[in-house]
Amino acid sequence: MTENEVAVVNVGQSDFGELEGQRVTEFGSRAVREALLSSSVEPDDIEEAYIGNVATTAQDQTSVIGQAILREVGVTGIPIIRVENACASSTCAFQEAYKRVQSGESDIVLAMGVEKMTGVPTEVALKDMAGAADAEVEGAMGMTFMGLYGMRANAYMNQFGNVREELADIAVKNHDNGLKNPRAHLQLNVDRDDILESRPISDPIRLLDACPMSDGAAAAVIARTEIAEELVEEPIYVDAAEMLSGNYLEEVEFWREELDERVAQKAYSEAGIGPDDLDVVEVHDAATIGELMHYEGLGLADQGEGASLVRSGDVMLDGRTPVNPSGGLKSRGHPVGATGVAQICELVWQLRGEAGARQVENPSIGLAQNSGGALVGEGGVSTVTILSNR
Amino acid sequence: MRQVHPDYNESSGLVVDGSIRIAADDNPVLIGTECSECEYVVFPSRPFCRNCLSDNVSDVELARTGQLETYTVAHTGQEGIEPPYAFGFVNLENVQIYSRFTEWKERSLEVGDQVELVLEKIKTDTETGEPLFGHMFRPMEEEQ
Ligand SMILES: [Zn+2]
Repeated sequence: MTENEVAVVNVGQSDFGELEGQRVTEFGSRAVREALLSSSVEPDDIEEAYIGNVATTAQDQTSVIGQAILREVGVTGIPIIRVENACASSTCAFQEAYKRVQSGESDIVLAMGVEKMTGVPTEVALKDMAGAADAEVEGAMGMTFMGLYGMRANAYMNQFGNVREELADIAVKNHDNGLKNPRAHLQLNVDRDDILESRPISDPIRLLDACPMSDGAAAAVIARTEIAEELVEEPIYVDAAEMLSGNYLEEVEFWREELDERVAQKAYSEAGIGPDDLDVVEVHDAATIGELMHYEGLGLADQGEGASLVRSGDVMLDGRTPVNPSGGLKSRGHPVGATGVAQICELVWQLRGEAGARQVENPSIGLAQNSGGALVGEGGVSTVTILSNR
Repeated sequence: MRQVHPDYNESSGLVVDGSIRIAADDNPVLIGTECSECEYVVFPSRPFCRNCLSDNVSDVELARTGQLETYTVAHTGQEGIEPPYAFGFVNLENVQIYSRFTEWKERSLEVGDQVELVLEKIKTDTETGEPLFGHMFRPMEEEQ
């Protein structure tokens, strides 16, 4: 069977943050509207839609949310499917849309993600998020997501030595980048000491190591390459879209991103590139230790050497391989169901040279890594998507 | 030192049903499932083996001591549990399990520590206001 090549036609993103007074249908439809208006795609051209959403207790519309949002932009009467895979939900929605176009089932498909998280007390939201871990033992006995990052960080530092200051520098980097992103949630001018002195959340993770809980939405219209080339001047090509889950039946090595390693390998092989070819990268930095371990999982650094990329400046906006130019989850924010497609939006803007003050110099290949959930401490899902402007 | 919380009795609720019981020597013991076909051990117990799918399985008492794989101390936690509290993963003889920790303030935790099982109050049942019990591990005294 011949497979179609696939490209992103255009993207849109709402502001991320505490969108007080806005219903999920409002900011959700704003993201789709932007993606449609910035291309010549009409609502009637969309043949299918996939929507990532986790639906926390803060969200009023919990079911048929795709239909409720897309009604606001006149995208109706087509298959609309919600995809739930914790914090990686919308990347998984994007990848489903990708497969539909790749297989020839449809020519133009919409992928989006949306989440409303603010407006309820923190402990209620935390308990809700604990449902993205094993609910029988871990969630029931107090595990939290920042706790998972704390456990990872302690195991990592026991194995490879202290990287506490480099973790702080990752937070500083992402906040610096976020200050250049007008849609980012946390606009903070912070230095290393601010991070190290912020209040402890889950040792050794501190408040400023952790991403906020946000509201927000992001959307991407994708199409068969030949069609995308007719619709826009600069389509962004999808060179790989891969996702895998954890193994769960073996003991976990908490100092290693084994799941990333497996999925990255598949994606590099599909795209025919390696980590050295990347010009811009977005990773799942729900906590700073997450970003550092993704460097290693994606092969940007050897095992135990992630911190060297921070010390050398390689991952800075003007470095060899800039990571999280958008500000990442840390600064852009983390509306869980929307984060994955927001990463895609950033890569598209970067690869088109449209990223404004945070533009990376002349990139041609970008990678987005997005994680979701965990069972027995091992990732629920990790995704890697590779885009290029060819 | 006592290994069962003084408030625990036969009518007390467990967070995970059937996961822990008091053995003949009055000490707590965790109950898992061992497969007779492939020897795979799982916790908490299951009606069949997730490794080979056989239902030729039986209850097995897990080791009471193990090694601390990793841990954290949460300062902001779930509703119904008073922070700070510690949790992590423990490697027992043939299975790695999630656990809360106790006595971590007295003897600070380190990866690789020897830890032992105790039966403790885990949290308050938000509906009944009654305590719910379950397993915790605590760091063991250094051997002289
Ligand atoms: Zn078996």
